[in-house]
This record gives sequence, structure tokens and C-alpha cells, in this order.
Amino acid sequence: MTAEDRQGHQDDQNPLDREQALADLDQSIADREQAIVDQDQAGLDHDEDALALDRTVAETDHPPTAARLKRRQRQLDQRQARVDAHQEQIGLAQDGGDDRQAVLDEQQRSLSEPVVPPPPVAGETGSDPAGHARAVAQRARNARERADAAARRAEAAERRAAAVQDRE
Amino acid sequence: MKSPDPTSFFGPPATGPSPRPHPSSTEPELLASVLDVLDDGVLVLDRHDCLVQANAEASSLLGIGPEAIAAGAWRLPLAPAEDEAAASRLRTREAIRDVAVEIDLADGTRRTLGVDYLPLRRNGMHNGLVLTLRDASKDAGTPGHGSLQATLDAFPVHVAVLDAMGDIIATNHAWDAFAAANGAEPFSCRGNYFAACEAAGEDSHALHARAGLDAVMDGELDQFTLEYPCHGPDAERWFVLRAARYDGPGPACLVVAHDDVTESHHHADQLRIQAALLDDIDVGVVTTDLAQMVTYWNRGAESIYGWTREEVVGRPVPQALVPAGGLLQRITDGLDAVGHWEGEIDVVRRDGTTVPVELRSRVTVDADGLATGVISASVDVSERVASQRALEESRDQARAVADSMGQGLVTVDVDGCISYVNPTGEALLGWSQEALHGCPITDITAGPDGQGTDPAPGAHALSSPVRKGVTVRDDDATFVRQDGSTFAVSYTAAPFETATGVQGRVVLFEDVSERKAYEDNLRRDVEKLAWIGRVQAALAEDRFVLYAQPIIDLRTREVVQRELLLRMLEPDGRIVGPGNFLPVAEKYGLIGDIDRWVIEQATAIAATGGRVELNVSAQSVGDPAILEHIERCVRTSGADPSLIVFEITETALLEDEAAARVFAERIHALGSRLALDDFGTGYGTFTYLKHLPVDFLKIDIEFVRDLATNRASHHVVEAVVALSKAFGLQTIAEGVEDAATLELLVDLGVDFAQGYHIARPGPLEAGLHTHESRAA
Repeated sequence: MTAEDRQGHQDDQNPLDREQALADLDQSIADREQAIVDQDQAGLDHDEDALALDRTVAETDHPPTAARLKRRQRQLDQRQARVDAHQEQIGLAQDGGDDRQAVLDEQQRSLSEPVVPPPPVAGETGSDPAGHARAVAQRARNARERADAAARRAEAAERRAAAVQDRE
Repeated sequence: MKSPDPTSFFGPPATGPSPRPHPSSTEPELLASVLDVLDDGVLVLDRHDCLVQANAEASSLLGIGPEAIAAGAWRLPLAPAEDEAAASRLRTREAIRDVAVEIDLADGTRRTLGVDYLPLRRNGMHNGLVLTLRDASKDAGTPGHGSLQATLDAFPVHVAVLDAMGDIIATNHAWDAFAAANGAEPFSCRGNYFAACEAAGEDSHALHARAGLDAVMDGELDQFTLEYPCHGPDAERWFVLRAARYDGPGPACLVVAHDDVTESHHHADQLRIQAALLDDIDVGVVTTDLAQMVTYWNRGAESIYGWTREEVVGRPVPQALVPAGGLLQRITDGLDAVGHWEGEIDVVRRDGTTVPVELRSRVTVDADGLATGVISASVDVSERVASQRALEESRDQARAVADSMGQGLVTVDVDGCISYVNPTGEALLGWSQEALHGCPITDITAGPDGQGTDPAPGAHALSSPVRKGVTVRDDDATFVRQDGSTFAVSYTAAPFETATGVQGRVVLFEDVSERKAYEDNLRRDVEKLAWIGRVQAALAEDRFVLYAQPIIDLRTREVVQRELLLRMLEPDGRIVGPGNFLPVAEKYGLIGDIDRWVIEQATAIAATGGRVELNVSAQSVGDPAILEHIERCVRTSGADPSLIVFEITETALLEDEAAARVFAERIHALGSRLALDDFGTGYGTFTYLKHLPVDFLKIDIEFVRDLATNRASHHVVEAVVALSKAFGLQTIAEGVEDAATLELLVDLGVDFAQGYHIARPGPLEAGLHTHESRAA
């Protein structure tokens, strides 16, 4: 690879690294949002369980008691709606992020096609293949975590649906 | 009245002298004169049965002259020869009464005499005999003899037979026994009844008896009856004296009977007391027999029904008082089934008016349990009924008022349980009155946050005990609807008091959600408007001040910059933070003036060599005039523009990216630098970084605060640092509050940091030349 080639490669790699950094930041913020949603969902699930327990021991024939239970359920439903909306927003962003990441990965793969890797340039940023590999691995881990979290949410949603059916 | 002597009507006192003289004197002349006034014949014999004295009646009965008696020629011809028992007793000198003896008279006829043999004794020895003689043919019409005496003796009452003079000529066993029980000798009781009456002195009963007996004796009365008391030291007794004239043969003229009526008198007294009691109470008492004839009718019944007892006793119950068919049947059924009935009925009085009465009827039975009639007690309840009707009318009126009210009304008893909800209350709460009845009032109240949090027990004013005269008002309360939703209410809870005390409370409430929202908006608007004036005044009076918070270089830990933070100085000297006035200033177009003031101050500081960071609002970022102001201030102050860093928020940038790019380019052209504040909170992509010439990314406190504990925040900061390196930018971490976070930031490669752990914002006078300062 000539010096011109290296310079050309570097000129292509830097914008890609920037894009990747932007995508990573988006992803990290999305992950953090997801963590917040997961935490909210866990709190909601806990409160739902507590309400279900109270419903089994409360005198639901007593109108005001039934009203209090309804009120709590209503609040939980409202919270759930907010969490769901947040989750949907994150999901959409994540879809966009995944698409974006796919494009970046493709770009990176095509840029990495030349057999001879460019030598590292001290002081230059965004051109470290090892760092790039670490970032890819990190994204893979994050994707797995998101998948696990999505599975937990799906289970919780099924449980809630069953509880609603029982109440009705 | 002085009680008469118990024996006064039965004869002389037992210890008193007998009115009938006994032949105890031997004085012949005196004896003869006394004997001659007697109605009976009297013969006095010596111990040899020789006749020593005979009165005129005896001479008449026996047909012997005084000379024969004086000659001692007459011997006892009157021995009861045919009566062996009498003859035997006579031989032993015992007293014998009423022995019938037949004698042959001198003229050849026979006469039957009734003879009493009374022995005379002296020093315990037989000393002679007194015989009293009566013509038995005359005795046949007198009591005390034969079957008549036996008849009298059979009477349980005390009977005495009097002659025309009042002498007692016969008594029965009851009389004699009573006399003996009261200390009289067996024959002493046969005194003069009239005299005994007179001996009682002024005793009214005795006088009344004497007069009555005279009236009977004289034929003015056929019979005479008198009840009189006869009390002894140990007991009180009553007797009834009955006297009747006797017109038969013989000396008997009057038959007197005394009947001990003490028991019936007591019984009558009790009846009188009971009757008086029944008359004194305001209860109508009526008794009827099995034929439904009235047997008793007290004064209370007279008062309630209008008929007097004289008008109804012994007659059927007045027809007007008989209940109508259905009711009568129910009463009859009740009496037949369980023996009593009670209830409230309307009855028609004698004057035709109607009165409500509480009636209690009970079947009366005799000792054998057989029905004897019905006793009914009735109470006039017209006042109570009228009062109750008035109360019901008042309640209905109150209910009508409550039902037509536009406000919700709930009544609560003393235990705090709901007893009534008006229709408006039902509509507001979504509950029916039936559903809420008996529920605690706290079931419809929510916690102070108004979000449905259950209030702690006793925390709500409505759950507190009701106190007399204490009205509770709350304009900022929250109630819960049936569907669990809440709404803002204003309520007044006043104690419900009656003459007997506090009965609960009345809660009057209204839905103030809309009004409260309107008032809240209004209040906020007023507050904002007030802030407008205050901001304008602060600008005019130069009462804005700048605080500075150091920013350190994490490689050297030295303060390299200070962020200028705006404060407002109130006239009273208080410092007000930007959160209070910046939103108002931005909304009402005052932020531009504030930005200009800050820019002037910042450039002045930079002119002294201080490195400063200042915030520029989104509004000013889009204002070309602000750039000219910046350039002018730098120029006029002589400040080195490289010492100045302008901060704009990510939000401001996203509002108008083109204007932000112009702003950034001109700032750079001026020689100053640009920092992107609150980085990471904009919920958008960061692609603008490819076109916007910023120098610093200020990592928001949101990601820094929990950096040490939240892996997600850690990843974000890590990504920001990577990004900044990719774009050739520097990072400033905001909100560093502990040493662990500070070290993490160093490890992550963050360039600068600020926060309470490093230094709190302080007045600018503390020093402007930051290169001399060092973080704690």
C-alpha cells in the first residue's frame, strides 16, 4: 500500500470512525434508557404483584375497598402505559440504530477488504482496528442484553394479560 | 276519731257492773221490790229448798198467794221430773238453764214454764236456789230457744236479739265467743245495747248506731247498716252493723248483727288505692268482660275518650271506639293467638274527633286460667305523633333542599360512617347512596398528594372526631370516585347537633377541579407577571449578580476556567436562583437583555485576564444582534476572546440548527470557543456534530451523578469520550459530587470537570484569575 493509498484509507476510515462513535453514543444512551425502562417495569411488576395479593385478601364486596383497588390498578395502568410508550420509542430508535449499525458494519467490512491492514498511526484517532473489534464485541454483548431484557418484558406482559383476564 | 271499745256494741265492759241485779241481798223488802220490777218470775229458796221469796210475776205464773209463801207451805214443785239429766244436775246444785217444766195450776189447768236454776253459794257451801220462771208459751216466739237458737248459733256473724228497751235477750255463739275473747263473762254480755252505745260518749259511730237502731225500732227504717272501725292495740279491724226490726211474738224487737269485714275492707282499700292510682295516671284503663261489657273505666279513659265512667260501665263499649273491621280483626286475632295485642291506632272520641292512641290489650284470666275479659291500657300519643310528623316534614324539607343542591352533601354519623348522600354527591362520586351507606367517610377521601395515595389512618381531617361547634374547611382536598379516579374538592364539615348533643357531621363539597386548574393557572400567570416586573426592575437597577463555579483540568487538577452563573439580588438582599426567573425572562422576551448584561460582565472579566464560560440562551443564539453585541463588547472591553467560552444547550441547537451553526462560526471567527451544554439529553442523534464547530461537550449531570453505580451511565460517558476523541473535541463533566466519580472520569479520559465535590458556585468577587486557583 502506497502512502497515497494509506492516506486515502485514512481519509475514509476517519469519517467512518466518527459515524461509529456517533452510533455508539446513540446506542449507549438507548441502552441507558432501556435500563431505566427495565427498572420502571420491574417496579411496576412488583406493584402489580402487591396489588394482586391485596385483591385476594381484600373485601372486594365492600364498594370503597373495590374503588381503592380500582384506583391503584388505574394508576398502575397509567404507569404501564407510560413505560410501554417509552419502550416503544426506545424500540423504534433501536431499530433505526440497528439499521444504522448494519450499514456501518458493511462500510467497515468493505473498507477492511484490502488484505494489508493500514499500520497504526500514532496520535490519530478512530483508525484502531483492535478498538473497532472491541466495539463490535461490546455491541454484540449489548444486543444480547437487550434481547434478554426483551424476553423478560414479554414474560411480564403475558403475566399481566393473564392477571387482567382473571380480574375480568 | 276515737276508736270505740271493741265490746261496746256487744254489752258492758267485762269489768263493769252488770245492769241486771242478782238477788244477793237478804234484805227481804228491798229484794222484794227489786224482784217485782222484773219481767221473769223469780223464786228464792233456802238450802232446804223452802220458798223464802217470790216476786209478783212468779206468783202470777204459779197461782200462789203471798200468804202461802210466807207460811212456808210451798215446796219446790218445779223439779224437772221428766228430764233426768236436769234432775241430776239439780241434785248436784249446778246451774241449769231453760228447763221446760209443766205445772198444774190451782185452777186445774197446766202450764209449761221455762225455768232457770241458779244455785246460791256462801263460803263455797250450798246456800239456796234462785229460780227464774217464764211462760214457755210466750218463749216460743223468742230467740235463744230451740231451733231458733240453733239457727242463730250457726251464723258466723255476731248476732244479738234486743227487746224494746235495748236489753240483749239472746245472743249466738259467735257473739258470746267474741265477748269471751275480749274478757267478758259468759252472761255479762247480755246487757243493754242502747246503754252501751250511749256509754261510748261522743263517738260518732256509736251515736250514729244508736240513732239508726232507734229509727229501726220506731219503724222509720226497715233495716240499718253501718260500717265502723274497731281497732285494737295490735290490729285494725272493721265491722258492719246490721239491724232489723222483729215483729214476731215475744219480747224480741230488734235483731242486731256485727260482721267482721276487716279482710274485705282491706281488699276494698286496695281496690280504692289501685283505682286512685289508675285515676292519677295519664293512661286510659278499660276492662271489659267476656260479653264486652265495660266493667272498669278510669279517669284517664274519661279524659282520652270523652265518656264518663257512669256512662259506660255496665254497658257495651261505645261503638265509636270499636276499631274498623280489618284492625279489629287483627286485634282479635292477636288476643286469641297470644293473649295480647299492642299497636298504635286512631280512635274516634265522643265529640267525633280522632285521637291517636298507643293501645295495649291483654286477656285477663281467673285462677283456673279461664278468660274473664280484656284489660286495655291506652295512651294519648297525639303530641308524639304531631311531633314526629313535624320532624318528618322537616326532614323531608331538608331532604328536598339537599336533593336540589348543586353541591354534594354527605352526612356522617358520630362513628364517621356515611348515612346519606344527596344526588349531586352521588353524581360527583359515582356511587349510589346505598353503596356508600355505612362506609367510613375516609373511603371517599384521598391522600394529600391527590394521586390516590391512601391517607394514613387519622391523617385526614374528616377522620378526626366530631367536636361540638368546630367546623372544618378544606379547599384543597381530594376525593375518590367510584372508578378510582380522583378529583379536587373544597368541602366544609360542620357538626350536626341536636338537643341531645352532636349526632355527626354534615359534609358539603363541590368539585373544584376546573376552578382549581383555572386558579392555579391564574396564580402562575400572576407570579410570572410579577417576575416580569422584578426582572425588569433588576435589569434597571443593576441587581443581577454573577456567581462562578470552577472547572478543573482532570490531568493537572487545576482550575482552568470558571462557569459564570446568574443570580438576582432582591431589594431585601436575598439571592434568587435562575430557575425562578429565567423561564419567565425567556417567555416574555427579557432573556435577550439578560444575555447582553451577562456578556458585558463576562467580557469585562476576560478583559482582566479571567477565563470564563457563559451561557447564552436559545433565543439569543438565533438573534444576529447578539453576535454584534458580543463582538462589540469584546472590542470595547479589550478582552482576549480566547478566554471566553460560550455555552449553548443542545436543545437550543436543535431548535434552530442553522442559526446555531452561524452563531458557532462567528464565535469561532471572533476567537472564542463554544461548549455544548447538557450534552446527551436531547433525545436525538448527534449528527449535527459533523457540521457544528463546537469545542467542548459538557456531559450532563444526569450521566455523571450515578456514574459509579450505573453501568449504563458509565457506557454513555465512555461513548461521549470516544465521540469527542473521534471529533477532536474536549469533554467537561458536570455535577461531580464525590471523589469516586472524579477518579472514574479521569480513568474514562474526560478532560475537565466541575461540581460540588470540586467547588460550589460562589460570588464572583472570590477571584477571577483562575490560573492561580487549585481545586480542593
